[in-house]
Amino acid sequence: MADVTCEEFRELASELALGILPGRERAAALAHRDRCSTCREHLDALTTISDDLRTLVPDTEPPVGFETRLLDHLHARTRVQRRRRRLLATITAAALVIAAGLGGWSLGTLTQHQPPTAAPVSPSPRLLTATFTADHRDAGQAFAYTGTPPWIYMAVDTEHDTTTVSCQLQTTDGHLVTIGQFQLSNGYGYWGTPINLDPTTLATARLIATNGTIIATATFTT
Amino acid sequence: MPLRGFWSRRAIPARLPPVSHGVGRAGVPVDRLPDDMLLAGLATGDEEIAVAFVRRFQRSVFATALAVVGDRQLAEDVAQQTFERAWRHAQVFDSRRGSVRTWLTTIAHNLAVDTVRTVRPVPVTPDDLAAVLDAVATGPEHHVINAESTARLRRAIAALPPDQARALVLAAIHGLTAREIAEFEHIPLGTAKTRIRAGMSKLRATLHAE
Repeated sequence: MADVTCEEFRELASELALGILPGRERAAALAHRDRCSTCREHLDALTTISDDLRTLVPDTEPPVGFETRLLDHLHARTRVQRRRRRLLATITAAALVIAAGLGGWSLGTLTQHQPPTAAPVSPSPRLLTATFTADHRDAGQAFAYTGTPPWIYMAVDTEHDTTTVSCQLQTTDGHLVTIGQFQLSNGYGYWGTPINLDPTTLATARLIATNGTIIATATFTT
Repeated sequence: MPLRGFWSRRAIPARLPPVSHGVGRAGVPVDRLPDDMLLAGLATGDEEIAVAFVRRFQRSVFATALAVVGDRQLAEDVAQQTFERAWRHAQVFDSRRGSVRTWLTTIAHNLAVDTVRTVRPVPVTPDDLAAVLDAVATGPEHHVINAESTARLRRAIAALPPDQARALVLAAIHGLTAREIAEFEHIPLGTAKTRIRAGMSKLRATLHAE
């Protein structure tokens, strides 16, 4: 199908949004959408309606045993993934040792930003929360999950124009760990990552701009 | 080198996840986590979160698949694929574009359409259509968070001419193409396309006006 005009796109947009436009027309319409911001906005509005229509279908109870079968399947996939990650980590560590020629030094360097070992986690996972403050006002939330693996998630809304922030955690014994960086857009951003420490030992989470300024701090209550 | 997070965005959704003030170290039970956090946790491979995630969404995912394929065994296969895909692609979920529930049902719908095209061409019967159409236009609100917007959409559908509402349900929920709708309704292809287009246009205008 040749290039479509805006008028022709409007004729096709509903079927495109509903996901029922046949292949050739679909390809031509998508090509036009990529070039035309007005038509793209029109399509986005229709797609939202189409997606919302599907959520109106009344819930239906799945067959007996579905949940168990599905979870067994997902857990099996998770275990395979973890084995692959452990194997990759082992290979990476071995490669670093060989490359440095000084095994102890290499491993020490590799782990210097992390606590010596992962602390034991609670047998009953919980979600710990802390409020970020910036310039004496609420600026979002931090959540630390105590399950296995433990992880932290944060959502922040600051008035800083910084685009890249580092997240630094401090434990109750004063240990500092920088766990990574993420991007803000107009002061907004959210991010999560697995952490290699016991979340119940967390004292604070700090967001630090690239110039070293602390732009928000969250204190976990004791 | 900074660590890469399992879940990061350049911007957050319109509102922050619900805050559990005063919870502190007592913690929030996993089954009460907001949808987007549950999805983030799913990506870490946490088994308890996977259970909570599946329990929260299995009925809507299964219903979406069943509406398209019309067969419970086939719908179960589609639902399983949907959750596996969500588990693998949780990182690409963008809450600015819609809810976790909408994201999941869209995955389920697309997988179901792909599946049904290789099994039987038109799985929906007139009875199926009548039942779904009635449920879509008048059904109860299962999801309290979205109850208001859902009620507006139901009202907008109920206000459509019946032939346009039927065309939209056949397309959006059962996944039929305009040609298949024309065959199902015994109408010309052009008429089916017009009903779809007019129905969507009216829904957009109604929802925009409210």
